[in-house]
Amino acid sequence: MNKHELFSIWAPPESVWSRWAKGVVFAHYRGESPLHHAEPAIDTSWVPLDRATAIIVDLPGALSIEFGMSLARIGFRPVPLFNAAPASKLLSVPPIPNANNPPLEPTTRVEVVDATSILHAVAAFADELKGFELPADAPPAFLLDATRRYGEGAVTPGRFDNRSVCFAADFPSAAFLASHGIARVLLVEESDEQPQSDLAHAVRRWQDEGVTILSRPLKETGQPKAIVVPKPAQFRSLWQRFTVALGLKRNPLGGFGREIPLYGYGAG
Amino acid sequence: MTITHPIGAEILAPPALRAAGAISPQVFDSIRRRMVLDYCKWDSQIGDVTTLADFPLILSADAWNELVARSEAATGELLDAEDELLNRPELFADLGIPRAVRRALEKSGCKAVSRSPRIMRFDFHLTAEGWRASEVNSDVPGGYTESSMFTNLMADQFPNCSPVGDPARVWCDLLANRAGDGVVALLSAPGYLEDFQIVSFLRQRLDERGVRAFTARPEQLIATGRQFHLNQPEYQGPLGLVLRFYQAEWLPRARGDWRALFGRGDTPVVNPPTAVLTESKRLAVIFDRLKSPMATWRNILPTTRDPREVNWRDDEWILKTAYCNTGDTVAMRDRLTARQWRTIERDVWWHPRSWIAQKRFEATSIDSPAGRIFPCIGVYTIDGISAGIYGRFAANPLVDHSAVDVAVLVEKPEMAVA
Repeated sequence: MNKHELFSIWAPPESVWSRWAKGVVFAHYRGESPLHHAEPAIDTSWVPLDRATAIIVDLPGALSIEFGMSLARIGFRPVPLFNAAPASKLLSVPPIPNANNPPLEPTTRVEVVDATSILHAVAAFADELKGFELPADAPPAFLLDATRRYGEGAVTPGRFDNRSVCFAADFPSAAFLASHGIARVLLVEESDEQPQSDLAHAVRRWQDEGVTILSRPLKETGQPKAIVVPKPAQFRSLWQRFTVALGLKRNPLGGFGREIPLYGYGAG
Repeated sequence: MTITHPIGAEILAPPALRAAGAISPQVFDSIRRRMVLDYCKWDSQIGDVTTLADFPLILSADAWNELVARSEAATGELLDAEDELLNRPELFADLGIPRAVRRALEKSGCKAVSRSPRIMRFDFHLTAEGWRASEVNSDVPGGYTESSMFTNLMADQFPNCSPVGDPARVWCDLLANRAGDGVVALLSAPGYLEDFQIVSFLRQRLDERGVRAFTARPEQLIATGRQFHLNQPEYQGPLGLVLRFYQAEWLPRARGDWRALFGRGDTPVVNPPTAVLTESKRLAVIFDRLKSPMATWRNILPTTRDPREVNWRDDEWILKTAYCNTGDTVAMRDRLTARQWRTIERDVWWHPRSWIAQKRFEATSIDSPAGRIFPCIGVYTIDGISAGIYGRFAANPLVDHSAVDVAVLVEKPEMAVA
């Protein structure tokens, strides 16, 4: 399987939601053998199957893929939204320690965010996903890596810094969701009910436009509960782009100040 | 003014710019996937909008020749201005250059650096009065994969047309030549995927040329004597070239010895950080204080003033910051809420030297398969020679969520309308 075939399995051309699938991880696939060892299927008996509910899976690393696969088994279309690039070539030995680069802990990965495990997981589940024959309009399950913003361990110069954030513009609009029968969005995190601060911008926009937001942490039991997402800091703010130092997008089309740009400015 | 498709045999000259028809959805989907997976175009969907157009824009040969002449003349003027400004540190503050960068420039001795290799991009808009430039990206212009790979893939579908150039090929040839046998560090800011995709794309292209290149962030550079070394997971050692896709005005945010980039060491840094001088949108504010005449610039740039000199609250003006790299800080009163406008007002009041006021101009729209669109033609110059086009359009004169990258082609001479 090559990267085009792998991406086509996870983002088939006929799916309504494939346009939003992120290709970053897939672009780094070189036909490696899947190293991922999947956990047993995760319980999804509490997930609404009304076809009017989209799901955001915000779980750490490969667990997001595993839960996405569990949702695919009950009719959801997993849509990978991973923005982190795997390190293209990891050294078997850590970089040379020096004043700017303290030695890494023996357990610290070179990648700050473990995107390689995500790559292995999408490859490992590809054959199974291919066999599902999901309809083109199957409700979406957007898959995020909950560790995207911080990764693991200190970000020292000798590490590959692949941290990322998600944006409201990484998702379809509330109008688009509605046009495909989606009236509710269910947020699934490991233990929190409220979305992470970057994701909150997208979720709050949906909420403002009439989408019901549900939440059900994976570690809890019971049915999803409706939540109210408070305005995140600098929601729709003009100044977010001025004040943020790391991890937010400069592109006016993908950020939060998109009311103000003029003429034909794009990416630099 | 509206440009329409030529209809009928009486039309003797093609319009300066028109849109061709859309290609089939299947072919376009294939191109889009190649862009994502093979050519590092990782932001091809923004909200509900696919940011690659399924049709090209066709530029007339005459229009291209005009843009070439203007871009190349403007490049020469900017480089002359840059050399002059290096010896005019008293103007640095008026350019709105951040204090830490000003100090780094002054400490570096303000000596001219090599002009090669050097890339810039001029963003032109069609207006009733002809082509107008809204800005130059003279520090870290992007758009390479769209202007090269996407444009080439789209050109394959239009045998009567061809790209005007391949900026990525020319740029990477020059970078490879300058790096020689050395290793290249490709600097970008972590967390900015749209920048990382650009350095990843350049890395691919350099790899094709046999050049070892590694993506990095400024903290991973180590200045040792007159040479830069890289300390990155994949490579630790001396560098032959540093490619900076990290805006000069952002450098003070970086930890580590970013000031060394302003030095005059043996490792070339491209674009040189001195580009911060001409990247400033406030350059136009000090035109009259320069010895360089800047004749082309004065002609193609809308009237630009220090906000303290004009009534910028009038709707005929727009505001933007001195280092408005992507349009993210362009402000038009009628596009903002009252609260946002008050915020802008306060900042302009307190920090006028961080802003410019620029006269609005009426951009011309054209018909296209996507409806009426407002194109922006970004012309690259590499070492002073025009090298290709990065095309974009929006559904209105403002670039908002509807902005899209578009291939810009010219008709092959034998195919052009007589």
